[in-house]
Amino acid sequence: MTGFKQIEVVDMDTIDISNLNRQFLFTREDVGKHKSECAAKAIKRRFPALNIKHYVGNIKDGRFDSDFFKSFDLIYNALDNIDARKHVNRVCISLNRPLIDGGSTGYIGTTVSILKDKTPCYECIPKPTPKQFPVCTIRATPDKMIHCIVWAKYLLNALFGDQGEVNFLEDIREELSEVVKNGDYKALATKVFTKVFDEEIHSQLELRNKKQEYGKSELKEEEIKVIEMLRKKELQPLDSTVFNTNPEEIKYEDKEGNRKDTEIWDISLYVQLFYKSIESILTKYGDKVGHIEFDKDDEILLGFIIACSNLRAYNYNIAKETGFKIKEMAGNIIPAISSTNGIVAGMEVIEGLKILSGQTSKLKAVTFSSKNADRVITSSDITQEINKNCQICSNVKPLYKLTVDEETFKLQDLIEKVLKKDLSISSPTLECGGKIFFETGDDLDEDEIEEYEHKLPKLLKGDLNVGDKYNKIRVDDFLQDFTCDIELHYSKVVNKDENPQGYIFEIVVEGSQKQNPSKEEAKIVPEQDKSEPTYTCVDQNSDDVIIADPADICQKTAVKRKSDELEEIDHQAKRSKITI
Amino acid sequence: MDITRERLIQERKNWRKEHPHGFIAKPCKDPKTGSSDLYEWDCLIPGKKGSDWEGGNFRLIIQFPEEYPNKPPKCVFKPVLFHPNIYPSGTVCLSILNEDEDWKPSISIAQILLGIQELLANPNPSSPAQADPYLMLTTKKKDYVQKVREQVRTIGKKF
Repeated sequence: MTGFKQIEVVDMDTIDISNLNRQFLFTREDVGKHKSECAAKAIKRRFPALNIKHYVGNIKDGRFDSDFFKSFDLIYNALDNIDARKHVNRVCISLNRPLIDGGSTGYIGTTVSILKDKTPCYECIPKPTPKQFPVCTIRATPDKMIHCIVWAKYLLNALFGDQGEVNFLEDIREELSEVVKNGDYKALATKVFTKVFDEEIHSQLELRNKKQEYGKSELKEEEIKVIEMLRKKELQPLDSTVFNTNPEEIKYEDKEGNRKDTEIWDISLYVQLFYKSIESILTKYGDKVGHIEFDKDDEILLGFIIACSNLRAYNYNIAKETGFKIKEMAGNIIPAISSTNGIVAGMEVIEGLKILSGQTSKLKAVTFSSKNADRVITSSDITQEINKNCQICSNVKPLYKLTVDEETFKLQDLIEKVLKKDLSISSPTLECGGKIFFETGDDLDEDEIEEYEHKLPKLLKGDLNVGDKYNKIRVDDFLQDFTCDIELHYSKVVNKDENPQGYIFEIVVEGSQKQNPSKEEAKIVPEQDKSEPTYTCVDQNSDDVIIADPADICQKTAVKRKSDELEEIDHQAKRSKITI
Repeated sequence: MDITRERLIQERKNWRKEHPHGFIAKPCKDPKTGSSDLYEWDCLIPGKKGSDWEGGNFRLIIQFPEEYPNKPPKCVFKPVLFHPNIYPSGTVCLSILNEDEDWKPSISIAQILLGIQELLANPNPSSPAQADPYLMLTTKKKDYVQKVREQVRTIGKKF
């Protein structure tokens, strides 16, 4: 509508029925089809002259390489996770391509324009780390429903999930693993129930009284804290034997057999649901028991969470919640509101026009609420706020220090945990002392890929001898042009309690060390093929644009956004290329 | 040292992103550790189309000195090729690989390999490095061509 003529859209998702209320490019028949394809078709129907191309895939795929990005004049992000945002940010910074990022959570919407050396990049300002609750609140002193839900998810993992995962309910896991294996659901349900909803609460009551008996000096400091928290609460243990747990008469379902998730039930029904859930998990999951992961769309697992969190809420005298509400909280679902998305889209177009017309000094970062009367929450003149020490856009190579346990730390830990998770690197090349010891990418030969994969489960020190002579690992991302050094230290004293990950990762140089000039000069990039234009020369006559969410820009759809707090890494990207 | 490593990492990346068709170049793999040595690359140069070398693929080892890219790498054919500008050791004699002649730090690995492919097809009689092929090229051109074709069949087919 604004006059863009060439758009390319990338997205890996398919249309879910729940998208239809706000993603107006899609209709009922489109459910199950690829979003990028349907969006492109819908837009083409309205604007036949538009040249629109779609791709189904993850924006982090190797095929969306620098040549692909270079072909656009403008890139729009409409992503639902930090990881993919960082990836696109890094690629755009390295290629000097303007990027406009937008997002919404409920009524709050944001747009930010990112232009190398003109504005801060996405990573100039550290993102807030996911909100985490103190372990003792979850374990011993919950006072909100969310605490009970988080606890219930841990309980699910402790009983039926992967052993390797960090879980502070380890004692429960150990005590009950045999019962889980036996597969007698009734025995298991009764044991779990008695342990967590009855005995635990009784022992907390005792602890509370203990303080009155002994006085402070004989108690540990942590115990005192817990006791003080507990004193304010009314604790109610639950004795399962007083309830009818016979699953034959299910009272929490309607005539059609659907769970009444919109209602709050009597406590006895949650007890029944608890027994029923454990039975279903053991009978229906079979071999998967031991590897179950919570999925909000899995009715059986959700039932378990609904039951456990409400029973625990009862224990601590916290108000019960409906199954529907618990699903929302457990799945970190944040409602997406079409008007918010529409405003974001409109602002993104305006920012795009500023960039294309060269008015980059007028770029703004805006956060607004579509609920309040005075809409704009912050509007800042972003061109002033570049972080000179930013690891991504300031040409400064960061240096990190990684301390690991030499007896357990594997190459895959380095790649999956440190590089992919902590640093958001997508396609690493690892070098140490002049030797490349790991690479990834579609361009490699099959046997090379296989050989590298074979190395993943090997110990970094014991098997691969990384860091024997030189302890600095150079990390280079094949797709993002992100480079950093990691100083590797082996130690046996990585405290597992303080560092549940099993390693310590910290930044040493944040950027104050500008590379010395001689180094920069010597780093001459080989001459490029003359026939191929380099990315620094911008064709003045064709203003190409990529859009990350065409849906947004056309004010027709919105992406369901999970909270940035606990996002799954489901990379999703969309964009398009537009010509004016 | 750091500059060298950095440059070689960059060269590897550039090559992976784009390289001339039919050529291979990658850091040599140590079969014991599975790591690749950035300072030594294993390469394959296809004989130039339309030349007597067409149809052959020739293995070349590139060794990078600590002073690279200020100093040029050493390029050695394994096995040694019959060619006037290749020393009996297999080392290639080419102006762009000579520090005192045309070497520039900006020359890429792709450019080196393309340069060597060109040299195979168009030998330079003014700077001979191997006596037999030099003499044969300058005195009995027909025999020289025959010898090159034979080399394409024997050495050049192994890969």
